[in-house]
Amino acid sequence: MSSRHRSFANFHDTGWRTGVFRALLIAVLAASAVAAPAAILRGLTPWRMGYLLPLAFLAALIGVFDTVRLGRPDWRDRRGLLFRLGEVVLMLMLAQIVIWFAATGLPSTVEVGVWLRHPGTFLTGQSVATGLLVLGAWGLAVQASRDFLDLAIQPDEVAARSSHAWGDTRSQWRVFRPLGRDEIVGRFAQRWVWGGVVLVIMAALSGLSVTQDVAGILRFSFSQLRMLPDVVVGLLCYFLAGLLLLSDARLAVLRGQWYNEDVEIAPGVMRHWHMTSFLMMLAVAGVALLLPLGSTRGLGQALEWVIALSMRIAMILLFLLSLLISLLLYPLRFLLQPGGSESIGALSRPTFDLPTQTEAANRLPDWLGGVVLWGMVLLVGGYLLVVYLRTHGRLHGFGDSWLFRLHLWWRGRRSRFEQTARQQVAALRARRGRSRRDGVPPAIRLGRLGERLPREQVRRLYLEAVRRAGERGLQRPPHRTPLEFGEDLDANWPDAEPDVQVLTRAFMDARYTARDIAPVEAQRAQSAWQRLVEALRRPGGHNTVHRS
Amino acid sequence: MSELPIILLLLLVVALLARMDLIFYVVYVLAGTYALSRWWAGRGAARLRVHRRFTDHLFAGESTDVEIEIVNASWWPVPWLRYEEAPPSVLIAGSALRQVISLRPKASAHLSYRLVGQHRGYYQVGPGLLSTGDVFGFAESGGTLVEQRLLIVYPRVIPLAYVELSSHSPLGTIKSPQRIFPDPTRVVGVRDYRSGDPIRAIDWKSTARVGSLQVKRLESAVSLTAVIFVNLDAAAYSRHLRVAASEWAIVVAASLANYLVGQRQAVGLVSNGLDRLTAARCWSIPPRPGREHLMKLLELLARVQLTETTALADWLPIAAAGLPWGTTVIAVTPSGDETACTALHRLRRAGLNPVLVIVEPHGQFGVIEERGRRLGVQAYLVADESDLKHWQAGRLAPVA
Repeated sequence: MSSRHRSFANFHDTGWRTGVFRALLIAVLAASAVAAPAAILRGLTPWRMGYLLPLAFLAALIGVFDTVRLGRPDWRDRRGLLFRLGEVVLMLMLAQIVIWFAATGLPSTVEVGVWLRHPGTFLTGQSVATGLLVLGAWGLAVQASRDFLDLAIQPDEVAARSSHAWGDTRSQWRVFRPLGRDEIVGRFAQRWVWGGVVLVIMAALSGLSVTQDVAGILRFSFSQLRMLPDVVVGLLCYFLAGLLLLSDARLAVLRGQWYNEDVEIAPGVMRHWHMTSFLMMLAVAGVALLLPLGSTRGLGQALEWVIALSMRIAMILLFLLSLLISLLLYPLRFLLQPGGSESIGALSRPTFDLPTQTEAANRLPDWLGGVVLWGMVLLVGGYLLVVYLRTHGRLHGFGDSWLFRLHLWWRGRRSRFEQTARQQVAALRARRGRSRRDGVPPAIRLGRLGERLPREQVRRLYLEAVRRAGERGLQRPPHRTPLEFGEDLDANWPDAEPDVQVLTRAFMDARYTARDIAPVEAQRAQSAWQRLVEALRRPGGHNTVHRS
Repeated sequence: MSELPIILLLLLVVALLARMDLIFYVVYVLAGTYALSRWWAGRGAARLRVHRRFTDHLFAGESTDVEIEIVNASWWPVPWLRYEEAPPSVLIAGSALRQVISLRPKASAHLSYRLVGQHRGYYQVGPGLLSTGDVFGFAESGGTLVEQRLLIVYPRVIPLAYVELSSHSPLGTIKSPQRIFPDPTRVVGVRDYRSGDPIRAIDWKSTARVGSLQVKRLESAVSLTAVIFVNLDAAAYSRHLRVAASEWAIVVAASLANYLVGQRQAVGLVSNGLDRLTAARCWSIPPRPGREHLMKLLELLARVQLTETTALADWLPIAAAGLPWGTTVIAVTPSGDETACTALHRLRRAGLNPVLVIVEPHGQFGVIEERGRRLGVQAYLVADESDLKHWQAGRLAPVA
């Protein structure tokens, strides 16, 4: 039976995960979700936001493709908060650049000066709103992509199916999944439907405009009775893309069920599925065009009457309730009486503290705080962006080598600083008469090590050795296993090969086995560690520096 | 998605309040898709026709393809249709049929799986389980193909060239070494008249030609009308050999029936086993000749099962009560204990010709042989196929 199914290379459902049609649908769904809020913002503000839908689509597309790529097994080590934060920084940067080019124009030097002095002025209402909407679309796309990745055939399901081990039940191979496929689809459908309700209400409110009369009172009114074209398109795209995705999710549920139950699937089922759902939707949409629409029916008026009557009844009930509460609280009215007017006057009187001449002379320039803040923002944002781009492999070549040199320079400065600091501390301690055991480097003290459990001792020794090797120019990338890193160490310091092997084996036992680690093993690892550290100190190593 | 109708109602209220055509349109599309999906799934399942075709009688070792035709009688396509059928596990050649297909309007699909008659028996093929639904997950409907057809796998029949069975019935078609049953229609020659020969035995034409009295030499022939008694009382079998020995008893009975029908003899079948079709115990089929009758016997032997039932000694006299004089009673039984031999002896005294065939290996078969000899019952030990071959070759000499 298994031969009748498509093979799952490397136990992964690659065909399902990399579908372009689904990615586009998710991006359309996520981008169209911002159409109605954008229309409301346009009604309430004078902002030009024609760029928002394409920008949201781009952000959603990036979110989808990054999520799909992070789902690949070879990207396992790149999944993390830093990558996602870098993605957010990229979105916000894109949003701000698009606002400058499409709406407000490039900032003048005067504006830049103001931003330096007052960083808060950089964040305009339009940039905040755009950023939030773009991030919302991106988040929606990421969430939907994750749902659809979870709907794919999982590696443990492939393993359970392909296992022919005697006596093995499938449950032995299956990993417990917190959510079944049905529940994932239910969650997605619920989000889509309730999101649709909110969007419809927002679309209904998109004609709302706010004006201020001469007395300064805000006036709300419907400036237009018809919806804007982009809201119409957004709303339609949202529901149609959602329906198509729902159909796709249904296929995923059935597909998983059929796969796990060894059901043979005729090729026509998969081939015609999307076409059937699309044609069905097209037929329904065509028929719906022929049905009478709301503005022609009297049912709306009747409903308004019913709602108005209900509101009046509710108001009367509320009035009676408040009257009752007032009557009940009337005997306690002395508790609510305000204090004397003098104290209020005293509190509200403004006070002015004039700076002295010395204070005025020593005051820092007003742009300094802004520059520091901007510097920090640039550093953090730049770092996150570099992480994101490096993860995508976009910084290979000149940029990558430059960054690598910068990284080495920084590491050299840091290690030199740490070495100096250690020497200073050691000298201070020697002066104080503290004795240290011979041959033991200052980074790890045996007294502290001795207090630890043998397992913890071994782990600490290994990590310390890794750190030392890093200081000597041989970093351990996250994807290198201890054995692989051990080979790197052997290649760079061949004379330390036996010690590297002893320490690596001891670390793997301590880290990955459940058995008890004897104190003798910890002592053996410590001896190996000491010899290894001595070898690392000797020149001639780091012939090959591994760059991740 | 159970809350979808409520949400649609909510959207309708919003649409009525906002009086915006687009919201009405969205509500129509969602509600239409929902309603159409539910209607489609229900209608699709109701308009499916399923037919199953296969050869319903198999000899041991033969195979048949069970072909299932699923017809979509409606004008709507069926996006997915899951059909599964669990055939008898002892007959299935591969894995059970579980398949998902899609059907165009007015189209049909053919599924098939193979059954191999590996084990005699009486099997139900079906039911088939159908399930279908829409493409959005709003509705799913299923059905059962209630039609269950029977498949009979006949027991293994070992062809026998010759079996040493004696008979007391004269005027038959089987040549007999016993001179007491001369057949006047079978003249094999003439000889000189001897004193005492009946006058009507004289061949007058030969007498005239030779010039001395010549008497016709007649061949002895018997009619071997037989009834095979298959003892399927579970208590009579050894616990560890129960299944294998009872199956072998059925194979022996089927082979003997086939042999006797091949010899143009009338054969009957009596058993105290359980007929799975009628749930009857202790049933009998009167002796008849012919191939058609043989198929009937084999069909019953395919259906019969070992069960806790009446012991052979109690049931044999009752079952043999109506048999004509001289009928050979072949009792196929696991052991020849004293009670069984006594019951067979009574049949002999009633004019029948009892034969005891033991189908379980017996360490002290000599005791049974001796007991049978004293009681006038032929006893054979046919515990396996090699014993059956020896019986054919006449090396299993009965003791009568």
